[in-house]
Amino acid sequence: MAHTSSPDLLTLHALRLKGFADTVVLADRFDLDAEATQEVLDDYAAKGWVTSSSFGDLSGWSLTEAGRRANEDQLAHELDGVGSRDELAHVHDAFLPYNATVTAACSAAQLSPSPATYDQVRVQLTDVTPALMALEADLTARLTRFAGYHRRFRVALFRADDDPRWLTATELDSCHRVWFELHEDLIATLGITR
Amino acid sequence: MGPVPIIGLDEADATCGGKALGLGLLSRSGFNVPNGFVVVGDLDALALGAAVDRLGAPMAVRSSGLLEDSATASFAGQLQTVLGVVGSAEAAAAILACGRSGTADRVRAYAVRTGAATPPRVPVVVQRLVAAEVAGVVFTQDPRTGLDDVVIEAAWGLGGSVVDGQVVPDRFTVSALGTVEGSVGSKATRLDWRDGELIRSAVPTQERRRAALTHAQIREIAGTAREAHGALGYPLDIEWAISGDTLWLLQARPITTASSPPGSPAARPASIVLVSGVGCSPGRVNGVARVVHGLDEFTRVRPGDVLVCRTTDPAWTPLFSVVSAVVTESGGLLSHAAIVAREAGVPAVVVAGGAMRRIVDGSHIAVDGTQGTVSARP
Repeated sequence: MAHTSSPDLLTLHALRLKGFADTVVLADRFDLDAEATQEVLDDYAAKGWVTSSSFGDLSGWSLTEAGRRANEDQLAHELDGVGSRDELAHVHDAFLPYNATVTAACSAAQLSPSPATYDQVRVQLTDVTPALMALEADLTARLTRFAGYHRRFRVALFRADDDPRWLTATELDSCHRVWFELHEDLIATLGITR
Repeated sequence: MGPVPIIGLDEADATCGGKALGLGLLSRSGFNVPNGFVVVGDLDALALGAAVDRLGAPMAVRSSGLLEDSATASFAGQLQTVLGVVGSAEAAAAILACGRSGTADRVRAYAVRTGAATPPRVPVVVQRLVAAEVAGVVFTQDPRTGLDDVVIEAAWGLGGSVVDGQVVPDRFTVSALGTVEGSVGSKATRLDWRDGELIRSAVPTQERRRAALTHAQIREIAGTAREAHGALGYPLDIEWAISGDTLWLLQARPITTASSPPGSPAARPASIVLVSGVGCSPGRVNGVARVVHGLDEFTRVRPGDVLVCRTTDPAWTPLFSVVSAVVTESGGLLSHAAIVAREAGVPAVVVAGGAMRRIVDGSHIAVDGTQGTVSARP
């Protein structure tokens, strides 16, 4: 039986995955209520786990070092409660070869941008999608919060057909961004470093 | 009774130093040169106050040393230019600082050794600051090839970003036949005169990859530069600025064998490489090092800083939109830092072992994301 995480954990974890985002984006990440998310974030701010800051014209929430540790404590507690540490470590091992393929393809799209390169990169990324679906199935069999990566990756790929920015852009939910978010999710969940 | 210490820029002659002379000649030939004056010799506070009142604010103050020295002096870290000067007290301080640069120090040292009474100063040019929307440099001969191509470098805001190599600029080459070739840089930050102060800010993503000049502007700059070359009779390296519909010429000096675009390695003297790694996002910029150990130090990062850290993850992504370059100790060509830096268009060096130890927070460094080096700037 797959475990569904608490809203408190999901709110902090959404910020870990997004890095820097406003309340609405964080609530949307795990389909949480925006007002409830705001209250949880205010609590976390009082604890010194999150802080609101600005970069250039953007402002939003970001984690503090204490918040990052709290997130990892919550995730470790959850994972050990579910008893799935070994299975998730196995998924992470299986993820790594595909990670090499995806990051190489994304780099190629950036370093030699041309219609021919984009075609090639889309093919390489499309070839990874069945594996991504399988990895996600293994993950969501233990923790439901891992749902959605495959769908988002496919949407980004679909959009990249018309606009290659959807391959690597940081301001869009691009292939690289979705993929990198999954990588960060695995790393955070297992409490390992990159 | 000595010579008049303050001279109108349009009357500048050889006694006013190379920079002022070039500007004086261009001004007398009818080019758009911002109004200004030259201070030669000792400062006369009353005369300065009157000249500053006539000029208005803000001002740009630049040393006008002998030509061959102006390049070496700036590389030695001596004050060549002070932008955004307001009022006669600030002007006097800026004039003293700029007048002390280059030749002056050597001559002064000699004067002190030989017991001369009054050490001379380098002449200083004071001009009205042009609040540029876009600015840069133009070479009337390609310094890389020696061909009669006009090479233009451009970035958003005041010209310092290009002149001091703080951004990867757009570069356009206009051939003698009028064909234009160009590469769009990334222009990650810009310096502007806003609300009475100089402000460096991050350039939004979509503006970074947009050419800073229209075709008409490229042709106007190239045409004006060629005319200036014709008027003065030698190849020129010109700093220009566009404000509204007007193209201004801010500085002009002869192209020498040592001249080259600010972004090219030949423009710089041999410098000390602090750390090397893998260049993973191309381009070369100068900036202030900001050594960041973790999330709690993000607020120390200012627009235009060089981010130096161990590694990056999604929490660090927003920093990439304000910094001028990134240096990480770990990572690789395919790392988060590499991919996000390329996306932001900022040079990056990864796998730079010992970077956080060897690069001092707050120091001035040059990052070469093509060669994979980080060097100290004097």
